[in-house]
Amino acid sequence: MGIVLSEKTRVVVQGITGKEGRFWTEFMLMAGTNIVAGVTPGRGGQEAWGIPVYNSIRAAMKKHEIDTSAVFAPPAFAKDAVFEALDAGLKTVVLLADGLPVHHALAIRALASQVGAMVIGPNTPGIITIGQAMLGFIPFWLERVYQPGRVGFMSRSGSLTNEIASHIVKNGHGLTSFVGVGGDLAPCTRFVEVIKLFAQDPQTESVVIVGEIGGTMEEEVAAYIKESEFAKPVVAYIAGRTAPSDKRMGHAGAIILGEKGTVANKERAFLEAGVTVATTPSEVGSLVKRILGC
Amino acid sequence: MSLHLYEHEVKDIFRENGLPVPRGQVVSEAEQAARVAEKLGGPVVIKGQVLTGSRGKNGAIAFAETPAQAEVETRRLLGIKVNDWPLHQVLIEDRLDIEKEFYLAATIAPNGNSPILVSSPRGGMEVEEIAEYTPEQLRIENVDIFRGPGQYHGRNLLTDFGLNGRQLLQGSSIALKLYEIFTRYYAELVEINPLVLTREGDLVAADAKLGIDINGYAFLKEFAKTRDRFQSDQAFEAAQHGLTYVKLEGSIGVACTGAGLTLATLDMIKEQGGEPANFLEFGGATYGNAYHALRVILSDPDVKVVLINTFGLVARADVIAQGLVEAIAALRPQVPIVATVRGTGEKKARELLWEGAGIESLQSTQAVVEAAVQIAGGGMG
Repeated sequence: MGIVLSEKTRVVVQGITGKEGRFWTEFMLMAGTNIVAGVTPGRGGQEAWGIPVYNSIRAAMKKHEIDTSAVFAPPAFAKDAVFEALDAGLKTVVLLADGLPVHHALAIRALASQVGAMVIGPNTPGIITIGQAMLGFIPFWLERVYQPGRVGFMSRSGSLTNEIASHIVKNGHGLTSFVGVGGDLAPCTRFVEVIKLFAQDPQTESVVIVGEIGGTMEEEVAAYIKESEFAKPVVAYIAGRTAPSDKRMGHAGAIILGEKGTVANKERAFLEAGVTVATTPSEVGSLVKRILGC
Repeated sequence: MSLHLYEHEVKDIFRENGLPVPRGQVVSEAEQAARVAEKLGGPVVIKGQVLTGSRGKNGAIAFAETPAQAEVETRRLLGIKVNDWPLHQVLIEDRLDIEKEFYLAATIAPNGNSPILVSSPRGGMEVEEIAEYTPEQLRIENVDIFRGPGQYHGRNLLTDFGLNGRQLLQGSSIALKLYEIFTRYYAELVEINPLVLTREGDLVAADAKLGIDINGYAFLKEFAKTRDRFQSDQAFEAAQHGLTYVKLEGSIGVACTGAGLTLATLDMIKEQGGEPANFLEFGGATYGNAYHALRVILSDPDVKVVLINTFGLVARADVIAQGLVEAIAALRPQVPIVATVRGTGEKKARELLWEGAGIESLQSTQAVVEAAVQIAGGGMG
C-alpha cells in the first residue's frame, strides 16, 4: 500500500530533458515508477529513456492517462509548470525545485487548495513508496537506508532523512512510504496533511516525523495528533535544539508572530500529544524498534 | 533566508512608490553631514546605516539641533561597530514632531498559508515583543495572494487604533503601497516601525525595513550582492555561491548537506562537548560548490578541525567528493579533516576521497562527530 504514490500511479515528468530531470528519470524508472510521458517545452517529439516527450501537459494528456506530475523544472519556470499541471486537472504534483521564491510557493498552495490538489514541495527530495515507485531524488538502492517495512516517514529534510532511515534499518525495520514536505518557509503540503494519509494506510503501523527549528508545522501536527486521538504510535525528532536563538539557520523563516518555532516548544507540543520524542537521530531507530518489536 | 537592504535604500524604494518618508540624505563623511543638516534647516536625526536591529539601544542613532552638532555626532558614529557590523554611512533626516507611533508590516503568515498585513498602535516596539506580551494590540489581515489587499484591509488595520478621516484613508493607502513593495521585491518582510503621525497630522514612515527572500532575490536585478551586505568575508563568499553560512563561536568547522543534517550534526557536536565554528549548508541545488564550502570554512582562523558530513540525495556524494579533493589540493589545509560521505554516489565518493586526498570516509555521523570533538579538544588542552 503506502500513500500518495504506487506502482500504478501514471506519472508525467515535467522537465524530463533537463540535467537533473534526465539523470533522475532513469532511477525513478528503476524504482518501478510508471512514467508514461515527459514534458519539456520545445522538445516535443523527442524521447528520454524511451519515454515520449511532449511540449505541454495538454498534448501529453491527449495520448496518455496521467494522475501525477513530478516537476523538475528549475526555479524560474517551476511555478508555471505546476500551474500547468493543476490547470490540466492533475491532483498530485511533486515540486522538486530548490530555490523557489516563497511568494511562488504561496501562490501554488493557494491554487492547489482551490482546485483540491496536493502539491508536495518545493525543495523536497521527493516521495517514495518502497518497492513500488519513487518521484524525486531518493537513493532507494542504498540497502542500509531504504527497506520495506511498517513505518510511515515524513520530513522537512533530505540528508537527515537518509541518516534517520538508516538507523531504522539498523534496528531491523523499514518504511511504507516517505514524503519529503520540503525545507522551505512555506511548504505547499504540510505535516498535518500527510499524517492523515498515513492514518488511512493499513500497512503503516507507526509514523516518524523529522522536523527542524522554525515554523509551526510540528506544533500543528502535534495538535492534530492530540485532538484526533491518533491511533498509531508516533516518533518525532527535531533538529536544531542547540541552535542559538538569535541566529537564523537553515530555511526556518522570518516568521515574526505567534509560535516561536523553538525546538523546546515543538518537543513540548509532541510530548503533550503522546508522541515519543527522540533526542538524537540514532535514537529514532531504537524507539521504532521498541514500539514495533523485532 | 532573507537579504536585508539598508534603511536609506528602502526609503528610496518607498519614495519611488509614493510612500511618505522624511526628507534626508545618506552621507559617509562628517563634513557632508553639516551641509545636509544646513539644507534641511532644523533639528535632525542621524541614523547609522547597519544591517542589524535595535539601533537605538545600540547607540547607532543620534540627534542634533544644529549643523555643527550634526557634524560632531556623525564623526562619532562613523567607524563604530554595531553588533559587529561596521558603520560606514549615516542617514541625516528631518526630525519628526511625533504625535503618535504605529507599527505596519507586510509579511508571511506563521502557518505559511498566505501573505498578511500586520498593524499595532505600539510603534517603536519590536513586533515579536508585542506578539508575546500584548497580542491583543495586533491586527492581522490575511491577504488572498491572487486578489491582493483591498482598501478595506488597510482601514481594518488602523481604524481600531484611533485613526479617522483623512488620516485613516492615508493610512490604508500606505498599507496597500507597502503590500505592492512586498510583492514587487519578493519580500519576506516589509516593515514601517514606527509609522509616525506627526503633530501636523501627516503619516510618515520614520523607519523602513525590507527583507528579501533569498530565492526571490535571484530574480531581482537591482541590488548586487556586495560585500557590505554581509557581516563577514566568509558569509559574503558563501552567499556568492549560494551557500548559507552562519559564524558560531567554536573551533569545529562544519560542512554538511541539507539544513536538517547540519542542525542535527551541530546538536551532536554540542552534546559531545564540542563547539561548532559555523553553520554551513551546501546541499540541494548547491552541491557542486563543495570547493567554496571548504574555502569558506578554512578561512576562519578559529577552525581547528573540519568535519564533513554528507548523506545527499540530489546532492551527489561523488560530485561533492571531487570538489573536496580539488579544494584540498588547491588550499592545502593546515588543519585535519574528518569526513563521512554517504548517499547517492557514495562508493565512488569514498574512492575519490581516499585516493585524491588520503581521507578515509568514516561510517556514521556519530563517528565523525566523535573524531572531530576529540581533535578539537586535544588542540585546546
